[in-house]
Amino acid sequence: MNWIDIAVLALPLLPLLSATFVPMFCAGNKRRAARWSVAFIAITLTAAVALLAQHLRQGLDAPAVFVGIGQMGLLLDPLSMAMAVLVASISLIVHVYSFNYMAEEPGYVRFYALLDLMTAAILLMISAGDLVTLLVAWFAVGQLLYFLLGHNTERPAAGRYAFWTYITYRLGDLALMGAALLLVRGYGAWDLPTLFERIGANPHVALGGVAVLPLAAFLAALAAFARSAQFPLHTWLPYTMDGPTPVSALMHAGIVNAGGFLFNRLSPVFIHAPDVLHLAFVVGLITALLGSALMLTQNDIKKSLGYSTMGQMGFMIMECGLGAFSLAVYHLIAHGLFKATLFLSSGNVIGDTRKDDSVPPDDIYTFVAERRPTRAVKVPWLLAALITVLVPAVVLGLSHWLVAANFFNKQGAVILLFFGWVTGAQVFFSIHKLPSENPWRSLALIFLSFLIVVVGYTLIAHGFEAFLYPNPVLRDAGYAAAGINLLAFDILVVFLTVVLVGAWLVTFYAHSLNLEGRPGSLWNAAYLSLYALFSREFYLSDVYVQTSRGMVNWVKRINVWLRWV
Amino acid sequence: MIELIIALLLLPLFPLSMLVNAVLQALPVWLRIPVLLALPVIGAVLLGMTPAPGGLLALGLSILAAFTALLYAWRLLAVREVFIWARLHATSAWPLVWMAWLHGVSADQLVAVALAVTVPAAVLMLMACALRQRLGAAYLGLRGRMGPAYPRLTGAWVVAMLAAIAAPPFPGFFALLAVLHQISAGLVVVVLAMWLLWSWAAAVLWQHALFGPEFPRAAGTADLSLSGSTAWLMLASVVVVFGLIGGWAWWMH
Repeated sequence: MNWIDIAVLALPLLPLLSATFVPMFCAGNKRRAARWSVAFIAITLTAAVALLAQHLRQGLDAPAVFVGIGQMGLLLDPLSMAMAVLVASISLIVHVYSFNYMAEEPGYVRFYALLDLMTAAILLMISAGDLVTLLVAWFAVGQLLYFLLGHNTERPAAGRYAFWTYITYRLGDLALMGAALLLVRGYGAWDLPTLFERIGANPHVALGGVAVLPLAAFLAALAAFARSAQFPLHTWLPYTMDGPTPVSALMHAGIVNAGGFLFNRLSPVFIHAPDVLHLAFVVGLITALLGSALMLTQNDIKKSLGYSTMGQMGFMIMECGLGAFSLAVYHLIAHGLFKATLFLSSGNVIGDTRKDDSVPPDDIYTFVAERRPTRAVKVPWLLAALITVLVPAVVLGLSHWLVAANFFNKQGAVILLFFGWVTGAQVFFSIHKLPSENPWRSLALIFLSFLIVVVGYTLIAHGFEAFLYPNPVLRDAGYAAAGINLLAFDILVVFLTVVLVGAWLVTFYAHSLNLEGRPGSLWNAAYLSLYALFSREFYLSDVYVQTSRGMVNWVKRINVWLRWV
Repeated sequence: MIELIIALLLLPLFPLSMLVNAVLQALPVWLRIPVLLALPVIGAVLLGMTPAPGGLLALGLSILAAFTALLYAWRLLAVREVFIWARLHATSAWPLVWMAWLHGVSADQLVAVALAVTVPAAVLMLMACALRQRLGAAYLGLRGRMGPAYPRLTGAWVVAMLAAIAAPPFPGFFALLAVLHQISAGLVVVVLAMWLLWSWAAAVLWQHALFGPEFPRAAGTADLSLSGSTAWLMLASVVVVFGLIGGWAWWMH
């Protein structure tokens, strides 16, 4: 056993050891308990970084390492390494942050032990080399999240929302169990390397006349949907904000975004199930749109943040549905880092606001508000339209073409570029709407920023793709599987263009269009109903609650009839 | 055939399950736990000695086992009394032994499945005894969260519940996985639904017992002793280790 094997095993074992050691030996001194816990996670992060550095030194096409006995073990590949560094990093930050943040909360040592257990479970999940270990870790994450979200036992609401999360997760867990059983029955292997090898050799195995891979992929996708709050399994996510803030941050380290991880881990299965990828695209798109819309209609800032995460998760699953598996991982890492930062700094924002409630006179504020131009100059509308439409397209197209010329042959890539173009065009359009004495200077600044973001993103994304999927055949197979009929693809692009461009035009001109209509009019009634539908989150939670209450009420009667025996 | 009929009484399927549950409820508390443990083990041994039938009988038994598992798992949702919860849970879990037997699982593995799903229910009955001593009844949710009053007992009860709902890494998880690996697709759906209902029922019970306003510890009662908690922790660890080794060995097999 060399040092790499030991480091791989240490990834889940060190936090597990901490979870055992801390409550047993430091229960009387909570500060010492926290310090030990932080030390264990710091060593775990060191191990994860050392493994990543070793892999980079060996070269990108170094083979994956399987550490285990027989068919059971841990898998060290680029995906597990990237995720391990992310998870250990966020976990360490959360551990350090909780040191003072949770100091006055009851159950301090228990909280640290649960954080350690959760870190161990996530690290086990991302490095699982066989389906049983993956299932054990996948189940354990959902279970532990229940206790972390319900840490504050004084509030019944904390328990209620933890329950919503738990039951949704358990639904997904069982779907993943079904997928694993199908794969094992079909291919006779529990360990992932052998399983993927056999799938590659014969992807058309059937059981009882039913093709194994599409059904297994569908079930695994369901598990990913439940874990990553995809419509209509999303209702738990906004309410998890009721849990402790460090837990909200930790949720972005391989818990709520584990759906993207699962798509990548089982990518050799998904590339043989094009229909499931299309379903993932549709579900992801609906989730992204609804999550963003619901975010805008909430009057509770925490729920609003929750719906923002839902929207991001929708984009992540949509990327998987387009075959851009590595982009989903890139997205989940980037989103995990920025959302965890947002959560952890929310206390500071509140504190600063209490100290000084005036609008901070920063550069953007003074540019926009205080130095409001006396004589607004507009760029000629035709030129403005051309800049809005062409500049983002040219920048995005050229930057991707320079990195990978064949990028445009993949339909999924074109859809991703399309979304990039929509975002870029939206930015340029908003600049034209901004009153300015010198619009060309604003445009130049925005253009430079856009160029830096796009070029930087393109280089990193392509580099990351080569790191995660060094085998170009597998890389391209994802895009190929996600491809659809050319005519349907063209119709889809036109449809998306109309919907998205129409939606943000309406948003920009919402005031001048007087969307609410006259009070008392039919249009106004319809508008208010639609608003109520969004603000009440489509009544989905109410439907679920009523259904489950109905089930429990019925069973109460049955228990009485059967005399509780 | 005689063995089969006796097994039907020991590993009861609906409606015989009602009879066995009534007997368990009528027994003195100290006798419930050994009976609860003995019934399924002897039943599994008897089944292991009997060749699994085919044709209509097998189909009928499968349907009855599926119905019993789902009915009792569903009934758990409305139960707050821990004694009742434990025996209804065990009744819901025992049909797994029937399903495994019908699909050719060997005799020793049947006993392992029976133990893996029954021992947690027996431990829950022990917990119910401890709760009854302290609260007057093993009924949860009337007073509020019991964690601050009895932290060790609460911890032990939560761990027992986790074992009962076959959460990893307890042996029940591997037992269910092994049974699921053997049975037909239709029964797989039933067992997964039953598993979901178990989790739901456990979460409802946790909601009643772990959250809410604090209540003062009843006069003259004490939390689980330190030695008792240590023994409990060690027992749980041993069970987990055995579960991991057993589950792994089974899976390798």
